[in-house]
Amino acid sequence: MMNIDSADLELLVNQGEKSISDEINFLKDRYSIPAEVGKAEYLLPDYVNSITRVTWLGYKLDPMPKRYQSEIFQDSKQYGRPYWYIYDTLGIRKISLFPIPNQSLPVVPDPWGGLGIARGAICEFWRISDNVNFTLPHYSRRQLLRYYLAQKTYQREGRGNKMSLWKYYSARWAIEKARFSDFLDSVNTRPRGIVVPQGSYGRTLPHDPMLPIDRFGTSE
Amino acid sequence: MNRGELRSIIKATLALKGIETGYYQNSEIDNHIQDAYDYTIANSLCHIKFSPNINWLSYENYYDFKSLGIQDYIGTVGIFNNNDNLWLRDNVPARLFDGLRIDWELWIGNPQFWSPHSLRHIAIAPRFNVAVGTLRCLYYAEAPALNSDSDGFVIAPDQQDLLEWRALGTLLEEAEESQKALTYMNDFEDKFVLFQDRCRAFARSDAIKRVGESIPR
Repeated sequence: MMNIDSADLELLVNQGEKSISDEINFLKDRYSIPAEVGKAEYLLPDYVNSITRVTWLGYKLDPMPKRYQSEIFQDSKQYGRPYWYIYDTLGIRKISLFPIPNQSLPVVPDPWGGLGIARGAICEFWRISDNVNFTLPHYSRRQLLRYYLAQKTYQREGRGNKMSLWKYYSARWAIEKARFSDFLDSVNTRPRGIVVPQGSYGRTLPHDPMLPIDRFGTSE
Repeated sequence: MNRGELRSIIKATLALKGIETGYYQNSEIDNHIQDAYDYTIANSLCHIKFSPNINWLSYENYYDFKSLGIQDYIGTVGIFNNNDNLWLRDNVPARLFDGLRIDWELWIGNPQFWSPHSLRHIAIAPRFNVAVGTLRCLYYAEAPALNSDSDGFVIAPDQQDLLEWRALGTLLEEAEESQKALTYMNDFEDKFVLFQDRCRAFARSDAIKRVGESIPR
């Protein structure tokens, strides 16, 4: 039998949920950045795993490595409306807006709503589970976490340690994680392409403008 | 087959595998059947439903259908706009909405595009400033809850042994009979992949003949 009490059980279940949300991105959240005039760097919450989008008053900011900024803009300190955010060499969970904001923006209460998006600076990201509001979907939760729980329990030193069972459950945990990842890919990531065929993104977007060839030479 | 019949089959097989009658209560077996049912339906995406009319929202690009009342929602298949009787376009992923407009979250108009965004939200562009009318959502649904022994399963009859094998596998695992469980789990895995394929590419044999068309998966 498993060597485990209810406190351990809760701890391991929470740990398993955090572990899988760290490994596979499936929980998206948003944070309203409290932008201040003249302040470039902002610290993001510690549950941020991977940034997916940053907007300033609804306009997307592009990610830029620090090295590109140094090469292109030298040491200049520009102030104005940010067009980029720098995400590396700043220390963990920090981003820097560039140009440095010349406008303060409020923390908006609903970073998902259109009004909040239009009024604030929003950072969207994959996050780590908090085991309360951001959890595995209930139709997968029990099935996945039972394998994490079992492999951790049978691995423990002392009474209840069974390496053969630990091996079995480790393999099952890997299989279930892969299937969950496949499920997310089907449901969460891929456009359906049922109404309009997949792979026709190009036909949706307007063409690049072209200069008149007779006056400006050849153009592609 | 219904839940009561499946439980009888499972109990008989457990007895054959050396698990004493009474080791598992009926309610425990029912829980494992429900888990197997939830798992099979969610991962095969075989259960598709049409929502009732839902009001379009003002100032919203991101729709959380669960909070809008679809309790068994897993993911969206399509969005039908009742205002103009058209399906929203579904070929552009949300990360490429920026290619439509860099400020697409500020884009106002009659919704034209939708894309999966996360487990909680789908993204819609453009959005209404003042919403009018309704939409209907075609969606992947969760497995219905099994409340009585006479409840059946929304899975093709020839595939219902998937539930038996998965439930038997997890029950045997719980009894620390991992080798016996592995047999059922392997049977489940082999057949489940085929079932998944059947659900996702139902018309492939016919659709493959249409040169140039991609086949929705």
